[in-house]
Parts: sequence; C-alpha cells; structure tokens
Amino acid sequence: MSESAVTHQKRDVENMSDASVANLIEGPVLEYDKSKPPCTESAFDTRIERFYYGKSKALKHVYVKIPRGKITAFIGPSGCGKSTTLRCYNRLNHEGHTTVDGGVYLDGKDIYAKSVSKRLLRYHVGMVFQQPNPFHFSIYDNVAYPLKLNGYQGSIPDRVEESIRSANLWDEVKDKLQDSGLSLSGGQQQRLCIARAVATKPRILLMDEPCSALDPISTLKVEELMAELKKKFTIIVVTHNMEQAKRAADLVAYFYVDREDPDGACGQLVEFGETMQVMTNPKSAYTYRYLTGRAA
Amino acid sequence: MSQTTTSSHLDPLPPIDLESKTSFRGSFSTGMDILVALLTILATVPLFSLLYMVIYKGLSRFRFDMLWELPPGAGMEGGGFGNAIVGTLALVAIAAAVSVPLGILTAVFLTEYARGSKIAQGIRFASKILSGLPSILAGVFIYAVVVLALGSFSVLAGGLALAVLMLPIIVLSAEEALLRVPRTLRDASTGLGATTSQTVLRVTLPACAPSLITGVMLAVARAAGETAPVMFTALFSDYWISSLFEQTASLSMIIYNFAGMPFENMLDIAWSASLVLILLVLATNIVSHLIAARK
Repeated sequence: MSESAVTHQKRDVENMSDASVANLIEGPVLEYDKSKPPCTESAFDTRIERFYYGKSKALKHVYVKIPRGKITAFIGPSGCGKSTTLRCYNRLNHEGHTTVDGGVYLDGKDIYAKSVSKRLLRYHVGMVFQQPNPFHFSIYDNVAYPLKLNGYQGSIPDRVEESIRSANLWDEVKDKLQDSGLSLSGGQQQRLCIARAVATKPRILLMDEPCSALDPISTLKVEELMAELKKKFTIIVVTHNMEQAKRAADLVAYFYVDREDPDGACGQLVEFGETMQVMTNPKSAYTYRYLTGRAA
Repeated sequence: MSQTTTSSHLDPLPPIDLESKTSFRGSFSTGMDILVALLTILATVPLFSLLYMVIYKGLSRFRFDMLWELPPGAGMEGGGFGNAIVGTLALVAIAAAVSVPLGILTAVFLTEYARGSKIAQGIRFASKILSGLPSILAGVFIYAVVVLALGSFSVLAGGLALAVLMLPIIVLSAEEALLRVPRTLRDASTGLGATTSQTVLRVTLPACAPSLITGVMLAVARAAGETAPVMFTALFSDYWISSLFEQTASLSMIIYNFAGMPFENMLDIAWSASLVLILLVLATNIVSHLIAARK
C-alpha cells in the first residue's frame, strides 16, 4: 500500500482471462430477428433501428427486451443516448419533431402507432426525473394530481396513502400532508416524486438518474425502495454510477456513442445481460474498454 | 501517517506580505467609488423633486370633499374630481378585463404551444414593436375604429385604447414569467399523463402567478396615468358616468384640462388630482413588488 500514493482497486472486469479478452467482439453484440413478432412476455420489446431529433440522428440499433419485474440499468458515457432511449418508452422526447424507425412494443402493440394516446401511455408508464420536481402544491395534492387528471374512480385519499407508504415516506409526512411539497428535503422530495409516479399503478417505472442529485444516505434509501418496488413494477433506471448499477440492477444495458457514424455522433446499444455477466465478463470490446476506464 | 512524512519533503516558501499600501490603483478606485455614488444621487434628484413638488403642492391644496364632488364650472368655488377617480378606475378595469386574458393566453401560446416556431417569433416581434407605440397612436387608432363606428366618445373606447397599451406589456412580462418555470415541472406533469392544457392550468400558470400579477400591475400603473389615448376616446365629462357608452372624466384628463385654467380653485383641483393619481400609481407599484417579493 505504501508503494504508491494512489491505491488502485482492481475492477471486477480486470479479472478476465487473457483468452476471453482476446475473444471480445469489436462492436455491438445485439441483433434481433425482424421476422419474429414482437415479444409479449417482456415489459417492453424495443426495436429502435434509428431515432431522430428533427433531422439529426440520436440513436441507432437499440434492440432490447426489458424483462418484467426486474430492474434494468442503462449505463454508458455521457451523450450515449441512455436518457433519450428511456424517454422513448413514455414518448417524452420533446426537443422538436422526433421520428422513430422501428418500434417500441408494449404488450405486443407499438407505442409509436398513430392510434396510441400519449396520455394513456404515460398513465401506464410512470417516470421519475433526475432533479426532484414536486409541484408547488401540497404533499397530498402532489400524489393526488395524476389520479385527478385521469379521472380515478376509487378513493383518492386511500390511494394517496398507499402510494406514499410504498415510497417509504408515510411516517415522515403523515402529519403534514397539507405542507408544500417543496418544504421537504431533497431525498424526501425524490421519494415524493416516486410516490406520485406509482400512484396510477403503472406497469413500468422509468427512472432517469434518480439519485444523482441526492446525498449518499438518500441515495441508499431510494435504492432500497427500488428493490421493494420491483416486486410490483418493472423498473428501468438510467445511471452513470457503476456501483449503483451493480448494487441495484438485475440487468445492465451498455450504451456507446458512435462518433464515426457518417450522420454525426450517435448513441447505440452495445450489450445487454445479467449485471454480473456484463460487469465481469463482457462480450463486446466496447464494454470492456468502458469498464476498465480506458475509453468513453 | 502519510501526511506527516510527506510534509517534511516540502521546500520552505518565501514569506507573504499582506500589509496594505497606498497606490495609484487604490486611490483611483476610491475616486471612482465616490463618482458613482454622486451620479447615483444625481439620477434620483428628478424623481424625488417631482414627488416632493406634487405631494407638497397637492397636500396644501387638497380638501377631502374633492374626492366625491363633481368638477366646478369656470370661476366657481368648491367642487372636486370624484367622477374622474371613478372614470379612471372604470377605464383601467375595462382595459384590464380585455388585455389580461388576451395577453396571458398569448404568452401561453408563445411558450407552451409554439415555442421556437416562426409564428412565435413573429408575435413576439410584434409585441415588442407595440410596446414602443406612442400612446397617442393608440388613441387615434381606437378613435377611428370604435369612436367613429359607435358615433360617440365612451368609457368603452377609452378602456380599449388603454388595453392596446397594456397588451404588449402583459404579453412580454407573462412570457418571461412562463419561461422561468423550469421544464422539469412541465415534464413531471406531462409524464403523469396530463395534456398540455391541463399542465398549463394546473401547474405552469399557478407556479408563476406572482410574476404574472406583477406584470399586470405594472401595465395597470402605466395605463392609469395615460392622457393622450383617453383624450381621443373617453374625452371628458362634468358628470358621473351611468353607462359604458358615454364619455367620462379621468384623473389625467382633469389635470390636463384644469392645469391651464386661470382660476385658482381649478388649479387646486388639478394639483390634488395629481396627488391622488401619483398615490394610486405608487400604491399599485408597491403592491406588485410586495406580491413579487412574497414568492
């Protein structure tokens, strides 16, 4: 330890044998069979061939089936399209006109079909954002908001309590439900946002770097919460924290930004698999270089 | 452990001198500070001398019965400007009723529906030009469009002329207020299944309500003191108004009419009306600042 000031902790992936390193594939390792009908077993069957913001291509080759009842983490360098892909699942990509070549299938139906209502889609696909963004109104109304919007028929107070409980926030706020949502701490605000997102009981919960604005203790609470929530929901989480992916995710999708693409830098999905497999024994050389910290 | 061993390897550093000394740089800076302070005081001289004159002259001539008396005839004693206060309030109320909904909806269109589009740029450009419009042109315009069409000067026409002046102020201030609402808040609402109109009504507008009200108050304060547009549209009246379709007195017009008169009583009324007008505008400004600060 005293030999060098900087101690180097060996990364998992560096335990790979030389033979397996030599066998790495220079490129993405995912393909899909166009002839097969979209998978209905998984939460989402993603078949994005290309994705455009206006005329500029932002994504290509995102082929992944998101399994039900699991936590899937999207990892990769900045600008690799993790968040763009995540927002494809509830169609919240709003920077100008967007075009999707291919499709994203929920229950075998393409959510980009003309007949699909974005409003209903978002009712069934909840989202939690990077910055906690509670509304200026009360804690209670924050959680009741999506229910009132969508004309929920049952008892709203019951569902609000249930949602806040499932976000592990009830004991902290039960005596001040009428206080402003903004009066809570950052970590509590983020759990309030989670309660709000699960109030409609969505099938899938999208989380866009939900802990990057939180302190370590709040981060831990949110991660514990994710582990509980996956019993009821499928979770897709974008993270740039490898340790978090390792701790929290069942599966990992590695995104890479292809700067050689003739249409300009463009994100793509390179590898997808069980967390430990991708982290310790990746198939693509792109993933290997990212995990060893040698390439963006 | 490593900290104690590493520090012994460091070379000794030369001492640092932190004593202050007089220098050209330092005295130049002090000189500039004094100059800036003097110029700032100079800039406020017109404001405070105006306030002083209006309040001093107004208070010494003010009688409480002026607030509810009708204007006197030439050479007569007594009287007041009660109908002018009512007239100004009616004009501003009509102007606000027209320009506030129109202005805020335009701003909502600019920021929530057409952000960044060519149409939005065109509307924003038009609003900026309109905000620099000489107020007399607003009066002439409404004279041509409303007064001539209806065949008479009226409270309604006066209110519309003031609405033309208020509209661009409200559009531009409301747009700025809406733009300051973070996008993450809109995303949160949209992501929960809200339509754009639900998001606007329930989240975006309430979130920036204090700034919206400030913009409206500033527009009201601007319109309340205008004379030129009223001269062409509402004109003047010696009596109380009973309908929207007759001409009316207003504070600015009674100041304009009476300030040039050779009768001391009319001059008293003009000064007192100035005092009331300036207090109304001041109160509106203060209230708008309080609302903005409460956020």
